Order: sequence, then structure tokens, then C-alpha cells
Amino acid sequence: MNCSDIAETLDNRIVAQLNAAERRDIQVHIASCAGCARDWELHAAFGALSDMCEPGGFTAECRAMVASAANANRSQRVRRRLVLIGGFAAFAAAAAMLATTWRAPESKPVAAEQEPVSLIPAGGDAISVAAEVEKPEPALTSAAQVEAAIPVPAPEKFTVLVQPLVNEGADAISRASINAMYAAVLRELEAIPGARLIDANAMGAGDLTANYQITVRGGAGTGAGSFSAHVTGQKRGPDGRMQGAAATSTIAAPPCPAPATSKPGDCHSPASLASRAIEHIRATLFPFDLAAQHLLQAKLLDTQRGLDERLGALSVLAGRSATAGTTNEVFSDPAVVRSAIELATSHADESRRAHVWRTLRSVHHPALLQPLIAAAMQGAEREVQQEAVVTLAGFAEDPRARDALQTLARADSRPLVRALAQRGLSGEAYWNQYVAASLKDTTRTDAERIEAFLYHAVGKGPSVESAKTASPQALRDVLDDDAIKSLALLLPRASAGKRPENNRIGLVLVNVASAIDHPAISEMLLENLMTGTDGNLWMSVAAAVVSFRGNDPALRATLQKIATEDPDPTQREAAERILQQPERSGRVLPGKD
Amino acid sequence: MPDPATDQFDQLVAPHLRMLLRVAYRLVRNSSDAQDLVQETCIAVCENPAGIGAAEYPVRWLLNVLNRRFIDRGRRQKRSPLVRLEEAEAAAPLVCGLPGPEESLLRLDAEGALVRAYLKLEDDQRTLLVLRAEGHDLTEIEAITGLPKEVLRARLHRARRSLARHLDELSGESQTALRGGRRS
Repeated sequence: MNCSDIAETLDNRIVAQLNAAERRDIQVHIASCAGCARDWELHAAFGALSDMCEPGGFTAECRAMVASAANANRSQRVRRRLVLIGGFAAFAAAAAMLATTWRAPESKPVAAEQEPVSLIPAGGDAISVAAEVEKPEPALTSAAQVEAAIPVPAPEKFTVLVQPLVNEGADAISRASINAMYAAVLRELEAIPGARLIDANAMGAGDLTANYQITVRGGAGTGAGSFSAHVTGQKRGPDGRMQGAAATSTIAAPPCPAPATSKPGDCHSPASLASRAIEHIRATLFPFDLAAQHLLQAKLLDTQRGLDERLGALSVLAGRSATAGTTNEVFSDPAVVRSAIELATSHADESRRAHVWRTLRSVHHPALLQPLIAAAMQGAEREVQQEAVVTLAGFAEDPRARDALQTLARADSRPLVRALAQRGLSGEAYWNQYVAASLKDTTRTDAERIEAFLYHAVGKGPSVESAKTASPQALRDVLDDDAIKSLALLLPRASAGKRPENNRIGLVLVNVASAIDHPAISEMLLENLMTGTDGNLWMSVAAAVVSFRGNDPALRATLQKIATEDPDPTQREAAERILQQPERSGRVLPGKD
Repeated sequence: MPDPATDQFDQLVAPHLRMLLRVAYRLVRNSSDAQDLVQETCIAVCENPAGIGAAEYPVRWLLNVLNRRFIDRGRRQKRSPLVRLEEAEAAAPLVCGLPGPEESLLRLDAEGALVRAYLKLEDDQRTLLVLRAEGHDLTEIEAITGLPKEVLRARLHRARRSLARHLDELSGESQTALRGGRRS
């Protein structure tokens, strides 16, 4: 690190985003360079100068100013127009006078030419005509009028203590990706209305009361250039202790292929991963207020923004309103619904279009019905179709929706679509029976046997990290003993492969194995730990099982064996790490024997 | 009846109002002026919504408008015989030369001194320091100000040097005043 590097950092970097090594290098340099030390100190002091708080009603005031300026401009335009009309009128009147004196009084054509003049009433002046030509809306002059015009309260203010990044990426590329993701997390947090960030490293940060805390921990992924990360938000009490459940977003990012070969949905930038992680935390943890709701609605309606950005706004809006129980209120605005339909029909990526229909699951606006029926009845886009069918089930009281569901349940070519349509008509009991029965139906192919269970266990999101895994209870509701045995046979076969779909099945495996304490599941796990083709996947499953029901002696013995005897040092280390991790409590579900 | 101007404000400007106010305050270090600056910016943007509507980065567009308003205000003030109160206080010693307890505290206050030193900078230097403090990198500042990166680097360097020099000068004045106060 030299003076140029310090200058480059001051000119181009965000100090809060420097990693520990960079900070250390900088400290070493400025300890021996008075000039850089002064620049550094000034930069920090200047950045830390107090900011002004937004005065109450400032947004309304600005809005009123804009309205007033627009009215003034309109009046000016009208006046200019009147000057023209007046000029023309004067000219016409003069012409008429000339004609009157120069030509015979009974001459008719001149009267026709005078027609524009008749717009001005007798004795009327130019301004009075302005009121007739265009009535500008009155400017908002009183505070009461302003408040009535904009019933948007200021966003609820809250503080977020941001812990320094823990970057344990395995190689330079993954460490750089984790750094970039952390920087994007900070930007996303800073953009949240009402949020004020506190750098946990900053002097005196420990003395400040923060309402929430964010931690980001990045680690090794499944291969070179890949990484995993946990972005966790938690509420803090006045004493600084954590309160309530943490909102954690787990990110598993495979290395991105070259841009030329990447396909939408397969590869996500660190920034987009960070955005989704913060969306999740906003939707489940941070305060939900009207101001934030209006900002999200504005973002969704803004056609100048990219479709992904608008889709992100829709997801957060739906998530937050569902948590607050205000879905119907938020989606009562026809413009919001129109924007959602636009996203569902115009996004280039099928899985994103499907995600829109999934997002609208609890919205019952009548404008959705026809587009939903159209999406459900088409058979070309499978994912869009099945999500549209499930959302259409919410309209089952409507005869048009019911007709469409009956047609699909009777005649669609795909068993899953038929079952989902029938679920909309008959309810959850039918669906649970169908999931278990199809798992046990040996006349079907593996894919047909497991697809309903996969749909039940992990509702597919636009990316793996946003997929919603079913609760242990939801798994228990559908699985009897024979179904669990079938699942233990089918899951390893379904998870073998490198397609994006296999990541989703990996999530199901983790969920099933850690939630269901059944001999068939344990045997499946032990067997695949020793012989499975994807060692990383099975280690992840083992880690989850140890975490939630670590008293399984057979599993511990197997891990011990791997830790000491496996030829692959990575697997040995992974097994050792799992054995050392503390046991959590809670989610164990016995099988229904 | 919906008003296109206020609709534009709601959609294009309101989501960024908090950021605009923060930047404006950092530029002028005065609440009233910051609010005026933001309101002028809002009106300017809503009078020409096509500009921001077509912009790839609306935030940069808004900051560009804000910055131009800020520079214009500075030029108007230079032409005006009126001197801003803070600048008058920073530039001229108190008439009595003997600071009272409150003034002494203010002069000792590091933040107050830094703000006074900052207010002595040229407007374009203030803009650069503020945009950096906001976390914008040189590429973004280039887009906001229209100045090439090399020029920006040089001006940032000069801005930091000037800030340090003004701060040293103020610190010297403060020490002198305090010593004078004790003697009397």
C-alpha cells in the first residue's frame, strides 16, 4: 500500500466496504505517512458530519410546489395563447372595421371570418376568457389541503447495526464475489426508506441503540468460483440482545458461466443475490409502513425501470402486505394489478412470469381472472401453467374459473396440472392423498412419482434461494410410512445430476432428512454419504441432520469414518466440521409408523 | 383529478427525495437552503420529465440537476452584494475579538470547524467531496458532473488540500482568539 493506493481508495472506494486485510494495509501505511493520515482523517470526518433530518411534511411541500409551478406554467401558456387569440381578435376586428368601411354593410363573408372573435364575450377581457379556455387546478395553498392531497406518512425510522463482513471464500474469485455481494447488501439497506445504518466498526457504535442487526457471512461454495452466504437480520432489544426469530437468506451461488452462454435464471450476479436477500429481510423483519408501500408501488408502476427491478418491487410488496394482512388493500389499485399482469405476460423469462402468478396467489382482483385463465389453459409453458392454475384456484367461486379448472382437471396432458386443478376444486385433503399415492405408484416413472411431492415440498421461486420450503408439519401431513420409504428410494435418484432442478431437489433432501426421523431416511443418508456421487450434496444433508437431530449414533460413526479415512481431504475436513458443530433443537419429526 | 406534474413527482422524484435532501444539506450545510435547493430541483425535473424518464440512472440524473442548481445559486450569490451569514461568520473575526463562552465552544467543536472550513471551498470542490462522501465512485461522478476522471482526481486532491489548509487556518485563528480571550 502506498500513497497512490490511498488516494485511489479515497477517490473511488467506499471505506465501509473494505475488507479486513485492506483496512490493515491502510492502517500500516497511514501510521507512517502524515499526509495520507490527514487525508484519511478528513475523509472520515467529512463523511461523518451530521445530516439533517427530513422535516415533517417535506414531501408534501415539494409536491405542492411542483403542482403550483405546473399551474403557473399552465397559466403562462394560456396567457401566451390568449395573447395570440387577442392579437388575432384585434386583427380580425380591425379587418372587420376596414371591411365595414370599405365594403358594403350587408356583406356576409366577413361575418364568417369574424367567428373566432365571437369566442370573447362582450365586455370580457383576456383573463376571463382564460378561465373558459382552460381552468387550471387551484394550487394547494393550505397545510390541510396538502395533507389531504398526499396521505403518505413519513417512513418509520429505524436503525440497523451492520456487522463487518465475514468472508471465508475458498478462492480469490469467490472472495471477490462475496465482497461485491456485501457492498450490494449495504447499498440495498441504505436505499430502504427510514433505515439508518450504523457501521459496527465505527467508533462509538457500541453505545448506539440499534433496532435491527444485519450479519453477512460468506463461505465456500460447491466448486471453484462459487460461494455460499448467509445474510441474517434480527431484531435487537434496547439492551442489545437479539429478539425473536432471525430472518436469514441463504445464498448458494454457482460460478457464473461466460455471459455469452449464460441463460436467464441460471446465473445471478452478487448484486441480484444481495437484492433478493434484503428483499426477504424487508418482507419478514423490517417495519412495513404506508410510505414504503407507496414507494414500492411507484417502483412497480415505473415503466422506465427494468422488468426485473419492477418484479422485485412486486415481490416485496406482496410479501410485506401479506405479512401485514393488507394484501387486498394494496392490490385494490387497478394500476398495480395492471402492472403485475404486464410483468406476468411480457417478461422474457418463463420462470419469472411463473413467479408473478405465484406472487399474486392471495390477490383476488377481478382484472386478474381472464389473464389467469389464459395462462392456465395454454400448455406450452409448463411452469407458467402450473402456477397460474394454483392462483386461479383462488377464484374457484367464479363460474368461469371453475369451468377452466374442471376442463384442466379432466383433460390436461400433464398429471401434475390435472392434480393441481382438482386441488383447486376439491381442496387440500385430495391433494395430500394424491402426493402420497403418486409417490407409491410404481407404474409411473420416477419423475412422475416425485413431481407432486417436490411441488409440495419446495414451491419454486425465481431462484433457489427464494424457494419456499414446506414446513415439517406440511411434510408430515402428506407422508405415511410407505410414502416415506418410496421417497427414500426416489430422492437420491432424482438428485443425481447437475441441472438447476437438482439444486431444488437438494433443498428438499435437506428438509426431509432433517425433519423426518425415520429408519428409511437414515439408511438413505448413510448409504449415500459413503457412496453417493455428489459428496458435497450429501455432506450438506448430513450437516443439516446433525444440526437438527445430532443424536443419531450411526450417522456420527459414519462421519467419524469419513473424517479419518476418506481419501478426499475436502470431505475429511467437511466431516470434521460437521462433527464439531453444536446441535440445535427443534424440528425433529418422527415418521408415521 | 390527477395532475401530470404531481404524478411525475410521485413516480420520478419522491422515491429519491430523502437522498436529495441529504446531498443538498451536505452541499450547503444549511437546512433552509437545502430545502430550497431540493424544491428547485423537483420543479426543474418535473418541468422536463422526459429527461429523467429516458435516463438509465435516474439518481445520477437527479444529482446532475441538483448540482447545476447548486452551482447556479453559487454564481447568483457571487453576483449579489449579500454575503451568506455562515460565510460572513467564517471569514470575518467577531467585532469584539473576544469570544464568549458559546462562541468558544463552537470554535472548539471539531465538527463546527470542519463545516466552516468546508464552506470556504469553491462550489465545484464541495460537490466532489459531497459526492464522494455519498459513496459515488469516479465513474458515477463523471456521469453526474460531466468532468473526465483525470480532472476529477486532480480536483478531488486539490479539494482535500484546500479543506486541510482552511481547517488549519481556522484552528490557528481559534487558538489565537482563545489565547487573546484568556489574556483579557
